[in-house]
Amino acid sequence: MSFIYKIENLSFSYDSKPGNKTVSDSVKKFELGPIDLEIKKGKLTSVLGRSGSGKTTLISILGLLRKHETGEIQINLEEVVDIKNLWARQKDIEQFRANHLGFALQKGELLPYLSVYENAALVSRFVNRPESEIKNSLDGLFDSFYAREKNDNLLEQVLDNKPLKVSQGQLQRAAVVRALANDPDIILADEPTGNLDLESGKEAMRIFRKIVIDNPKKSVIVVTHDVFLAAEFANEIIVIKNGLVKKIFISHDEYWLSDDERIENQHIVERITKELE
Amino acid sequence: MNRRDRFSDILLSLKLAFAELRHYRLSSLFITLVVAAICLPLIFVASLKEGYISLISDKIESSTQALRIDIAVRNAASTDQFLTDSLINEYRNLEGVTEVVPQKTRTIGVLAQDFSQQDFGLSTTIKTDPDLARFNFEGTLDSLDSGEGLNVIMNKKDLLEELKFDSIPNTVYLTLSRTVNGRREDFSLECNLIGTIEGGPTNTVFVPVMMGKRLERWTLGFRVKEYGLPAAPNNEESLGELVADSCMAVSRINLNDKNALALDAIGMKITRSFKANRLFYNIIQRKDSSGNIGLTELQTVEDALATNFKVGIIPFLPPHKLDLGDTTVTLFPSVTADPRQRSLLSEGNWINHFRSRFEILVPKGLLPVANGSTSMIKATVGNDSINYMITGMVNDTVGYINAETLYRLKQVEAGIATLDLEKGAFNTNEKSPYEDRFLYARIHAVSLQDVLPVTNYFRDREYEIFASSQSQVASLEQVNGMLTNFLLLINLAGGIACVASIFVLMYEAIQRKKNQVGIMRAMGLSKWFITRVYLWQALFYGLGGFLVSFLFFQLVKSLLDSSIGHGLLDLQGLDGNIFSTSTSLTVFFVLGMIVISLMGGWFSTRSVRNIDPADILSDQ
Repeated sequence: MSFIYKIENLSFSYDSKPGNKTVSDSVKKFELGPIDLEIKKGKLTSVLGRSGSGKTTLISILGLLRKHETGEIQINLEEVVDIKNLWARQKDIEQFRANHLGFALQKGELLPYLSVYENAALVSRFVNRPESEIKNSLDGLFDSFYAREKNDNLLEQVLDNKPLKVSQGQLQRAAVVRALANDPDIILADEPTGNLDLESGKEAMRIFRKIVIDNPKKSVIVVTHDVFLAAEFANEIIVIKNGLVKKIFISHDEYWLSDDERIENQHIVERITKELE
Repeated sequence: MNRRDRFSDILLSLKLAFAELRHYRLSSLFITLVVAAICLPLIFVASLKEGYISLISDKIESSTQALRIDIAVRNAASTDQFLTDSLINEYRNLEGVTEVVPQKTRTIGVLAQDFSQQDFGLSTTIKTDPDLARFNFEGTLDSLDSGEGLNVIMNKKDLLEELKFDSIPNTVYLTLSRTVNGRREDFSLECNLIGTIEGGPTNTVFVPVMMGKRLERWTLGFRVKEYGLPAAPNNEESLGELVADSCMAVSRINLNDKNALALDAIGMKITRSFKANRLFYNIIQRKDSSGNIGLTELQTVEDALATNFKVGIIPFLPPHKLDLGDTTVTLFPSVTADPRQRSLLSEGNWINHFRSRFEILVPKGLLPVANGSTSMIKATVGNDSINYMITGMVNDTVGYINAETLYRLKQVEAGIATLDLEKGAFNTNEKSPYEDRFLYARIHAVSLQDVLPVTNYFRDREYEIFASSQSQVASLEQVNGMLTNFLLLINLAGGIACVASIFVLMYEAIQRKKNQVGIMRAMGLSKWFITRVYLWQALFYGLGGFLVSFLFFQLVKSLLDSSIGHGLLDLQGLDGNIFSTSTSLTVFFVLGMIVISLMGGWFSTRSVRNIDPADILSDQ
């Protein structure tokens, strides 16, 4: 199976970025890596770790939000791209993010002054996709992710609402739709279930699963600290501890075949929990 | 990115900017009002200044002299003493000039008497004005005491023939001005003619002028409702008439054979050797009862220079009878000539101080005839050496020719006139179309701003500006300049305050929205795109603030202009609005606000550019 990310000897530390004023003193000496890793294409990969383990740092590097210091990172799209080349120009980074990456974030509130629909359409409009194309694409996504609302004839109302007027679940789905709106190759989700109750969290993970099932060319990377959700839905689970990749767990392929007949992988949960201790 | 994409990009950023403004409407309103509060006093001060300048401009423009500049060349006997078409065209093409009207001069006899029948010395040249239905007479009369009034007696023949009046007007409007301690006072009087004396040698017209104050040095101006243009002069002009009135002592013409013949014909003995080695000056105050010039003081030139008087030189000569066979012509010294009357004297031989005449006269006995070939009078005034060319002598005395004779002599020299020795007259073969256009002109300026450059132009060309609004315009410009500088300082301070306010308020607002900016950046929206969103907002604050303040200003302006403003202005004798906002001022403010808001916005969006998109992630 081909990779979406190939990471070799990656390392990163905050000390190496003295100009980064957003980093507080407490995390100033944090170090990540060295890491060697391959993340598979067309799969839902979960990055697990405790707070401060470096999982978010890893995803910020993979999402081109942070520039790594040493090591190689390649992204395998239609052709293999070396991230270092992209970082040579700020504009290339911005364009790559807009065209190939989609972010669904725990703190990823939608822009409060735009409606749910406009939030989802923003990036597509920014990259100047034709309005009709944007509408077709978003209609499909909203139909899919807001099936319940559509059945209740509430979809239009939800889409016209500002983010403050919709439920947390609807908001979370809207963030995912926004991440998918521009048809990205990679979706990066940072603690998407962090603010949700168990059932909503499962719903969110089910959505991510659905993405890779429906679109085998897309890859989803979810950062979470919820072992159970990761074990239940992810194809592959990367455990990060103290800035290092501790272990990689791979689920059975059958696991992905049926949505209703999931096997509770208690065995994996136990092993992951052990690794995290 | 092609042009269409760039346009949609701009449109999208604009849309986002306004969506955000609308969403945070209270905050947006607050920033707009802060900007408006800073703008408002600036607009008030600027419009007050514009209003003030505009009122003063209106006041100047309402005077008849506002855009008119009357000029006369200082040295009218220079080589080109007439205002030719080419000169008029040259002047007309000057920037700021709409019209150049050549002025004509005619001379009439005017005599002024006070009520005790005491005569005044009065000069008599009248400048007619073809473009206005009036003529002006300007002369100076000195009286030691004329508390009751004076009669102005004019020669009827002069009025009717020289000025081509159809009849003697019943009413004459007199404008009198006098200078007391350097301050000018003007009076306008409407006087009825009390009668004329028909026949006899005088044919005079009496105009009584009642004076309420002691008359000292007065300038008289006459105005009648209508007059006709003077007729063109005859081709044949009598020599006798030409030389009798005002004449020149010296002039610059070449003593060639033709000129020598002409001068000889009018009784001048040609000499080329003449020298003066000492000069005296004499203050002439008034004629005595017998019409003679009183000599009250005799001092040396060096003494005169020690005073504040500007000293010029003219050789002194007594009146001289010139026998031309059948006719006897009296050559007078040019004591009645006056530089302001344009007697066409060469070399600027005049001293004029507070309208009293001071002339340097060379006593006859002190004019030795030198031997040799020199034809110059060499005089030393202070350290300056002045040379005069002598054209001729009459009975061992320097002779005189007047300006017109001089002109005719030049015409003879140029072959366009001949001298008829039998008749004692010049025959002009070709009449100059300009001969009645002496170097006086009335210039009409386009606007007040053009007055100063135009007057400066003519001053540089040796013209004297004897009537214009230049001093008022200059003082207006000075006041305007000072107020403009003051205003710029205030605007600078206000502009800085505005930039600072927009910066602080927007910076604070952006800091509160760091997460939103981070999300936008993570989604791939470029720094410049996000910056542009906030620049649009800054622009809205700047222009919106200006609009709010401008509307409020208009409201207050309409209130003040309607009642209080006019009340205040009435007190100042001004008519108009106390506030004024020109288009240029509004444009200045709009452009200024655009710059200010963009500056404020740009500084505040530095934080946008520094926001790390990774901060939005959960662990950070």
